[in-house]
Amino acid sequence: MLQRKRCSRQARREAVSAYLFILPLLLGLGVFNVYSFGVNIYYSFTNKSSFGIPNWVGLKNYIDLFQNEKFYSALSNTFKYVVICVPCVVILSIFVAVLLNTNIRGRGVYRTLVFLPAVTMPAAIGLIWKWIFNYEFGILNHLLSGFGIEKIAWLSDPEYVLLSVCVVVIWADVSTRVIILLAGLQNIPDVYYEAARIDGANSAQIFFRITLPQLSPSIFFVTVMEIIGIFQIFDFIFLMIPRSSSGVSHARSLVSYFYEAAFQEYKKGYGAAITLVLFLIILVVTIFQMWMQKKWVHYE
Amino acid sequence: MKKVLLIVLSICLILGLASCTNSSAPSPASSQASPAAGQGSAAPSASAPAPAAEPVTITFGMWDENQKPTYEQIIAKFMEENPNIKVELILTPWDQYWTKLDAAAGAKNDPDVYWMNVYMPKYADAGVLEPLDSYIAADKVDLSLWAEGAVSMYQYNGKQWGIPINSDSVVVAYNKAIFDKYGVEHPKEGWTWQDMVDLGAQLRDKIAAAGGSEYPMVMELDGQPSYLQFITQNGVNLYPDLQTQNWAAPGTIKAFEDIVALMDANIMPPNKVLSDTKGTDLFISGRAAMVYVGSWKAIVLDECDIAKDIGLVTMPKKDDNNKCAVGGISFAMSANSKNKDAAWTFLKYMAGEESSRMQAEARIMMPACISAQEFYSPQFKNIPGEVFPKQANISAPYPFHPAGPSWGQDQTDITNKIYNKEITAEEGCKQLAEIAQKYIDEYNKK
Repeated sequence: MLQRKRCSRQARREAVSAYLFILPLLLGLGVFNVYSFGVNIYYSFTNKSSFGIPNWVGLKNYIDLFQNEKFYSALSNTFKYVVICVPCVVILSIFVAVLLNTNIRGRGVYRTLVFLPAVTMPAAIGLIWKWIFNYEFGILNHLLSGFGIEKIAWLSDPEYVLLSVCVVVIWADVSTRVIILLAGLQNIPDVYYEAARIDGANSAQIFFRITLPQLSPSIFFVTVMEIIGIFQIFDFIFLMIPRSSSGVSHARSLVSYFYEAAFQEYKKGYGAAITLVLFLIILVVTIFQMWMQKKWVHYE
Repeated sequence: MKKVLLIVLSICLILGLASCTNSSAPSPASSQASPAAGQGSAAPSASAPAPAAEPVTITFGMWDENQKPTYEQIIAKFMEENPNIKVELILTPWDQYWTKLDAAAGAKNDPDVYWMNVYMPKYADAGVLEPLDSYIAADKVDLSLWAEGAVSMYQYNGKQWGIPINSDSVVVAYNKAIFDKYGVEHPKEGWTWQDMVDLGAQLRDKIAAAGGSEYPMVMELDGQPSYLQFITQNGVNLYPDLQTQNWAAPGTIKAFEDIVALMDANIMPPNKVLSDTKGTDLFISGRAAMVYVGSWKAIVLDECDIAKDIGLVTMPKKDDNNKCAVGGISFAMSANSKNKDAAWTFLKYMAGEESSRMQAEARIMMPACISAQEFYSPQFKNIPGEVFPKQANISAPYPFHPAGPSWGQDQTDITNKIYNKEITAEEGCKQLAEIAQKYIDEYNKK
């Protein structure tokens, strides 16, 4: 009796100090995530602009949004980014992670090279690639002209601009994803591989029958994060394609569209509506993935 | 014991966080002014009880990095003369300037004095700007000492909302070396658009015959240095009053058709080239023979590698005239300022003769202050800088509507579609007219 009471008192004390520990984080989350999210929903039903008190306008923002051609073009661009970037990033990072996990010579050098983009500031990446892609003075066009290929306006030609952004995103994202997959690979017990080798399995069989299934939780995590990340694609578009560029409308993602509406055209209520639509899209896609994971993700 | 320590420590942590946000809250802007920020936030807490002997600190916001060194000198001089006013300069690049100003003004954190441009009516309407009339009257400031067009640009609803700094004109710069290399006559004052097209065509043919790779002509197609001038020069007033617009007027459509015609004739490279690299950059790297260039780029022209080869000429006469839609910025005061008298003292100095003269001598601005104008042109080492004020005197008002920022990106998107030949000039202008009119109607309903 006495024992139990003391125990619970101690437990309570521990709980109190634990809550005190997470309080700073909770406060931050509460103010910057939970509260802002609620306010954002409210704003999406108002005509909030730069100054003044926002007025309730009901569904007007959503009606305008679904009637606006620009919204559909941004939506389709965003889906294009997802369809191109996600498979490339996931497959490439599995490939690179498996390579880096083998005992090749100079593994440290390769690892450093692959991880480099992960520790480089996105702003620096964007600006450097902008110069690489430049029509008149860019190194890429310079190299291509060596092969007799005509110059391409990578960031201004409507045909190429989206692909150019994808290249940079894939290059930058693979590195962070490789880190996660590499950790996953190193958690696969060696006994499976030993047993497979004793049974005479070849490398392809080992990869598809052991590595991939064992790695599937990590792959699942990487895929979910990548899809969410690409749906929210903004930074490289913003950094590489200036407002006045002729590539803007062909590279515009939903978040770029939100930024333009809210911060360049000062239609903040309308911007809030865009972000809510994006939130719902990501929510649906993520729920679908959670449901799908039963079919292919193996947990030990 | 340990628990108590833990609790005390975590409370300290929370308080630390809270005080952190508190102390940074009044001056998110000053944290941008890197070195000063640390001292600024530390000093008041250390010497809080000290009485009012401390100087008043005011902040000043601007966007052009090229002009920062000169402004720092001017501000240093001002502080020397006014030891009880301390001025902090806050530089925000153009792309973020208005976004940040809006957020700061909404939180009553905007700089006391800042650069303002044609967006002024929006800020005046929102009550963010302080009308200057009472200060002007109290100090008996004579506004006729500044260029008339520039002063009237900052009048709105019968009040004066800013004192002008400068006038921006657009001229044509040409590379004499390229003209001479291909044996084509230089552009001459009093030329017409057709003369320009002819010169471009001659250059095009001779460059092609000699196997050269220069472009006869380039432009920056984002408004002020290009189509806004051509629309004006076709005799169209884009916004004749607050209720209407002339985006679909025949003269407007013709302005865009003429730009596309230059591209079709291979006198000007296609839009993808011009959109990738700024026209001025192509020109100063010797890749182009002619460019429409604004006076805000004057110092860049004067100090580039090919400066000695650069000639300047006023714009050719288009269908109606060769007037320049003169832009310009002004110093405005925040209605949120806590030290309005100090802010006014500073503003008056900045717009005044001494400061204008220093800006003119640094070639960063063609001053609106008339007595300082004579110091501008002689400062140029290589280019004939007197062409900028000459063009500024052949002027027309800058076309702007207070609701303009609302369709800014549509304007960019649609004009780009015209240049990319995805739509015709007529279709594009009609779309623009429709969008602009929609926002203008909304504006007038308020």
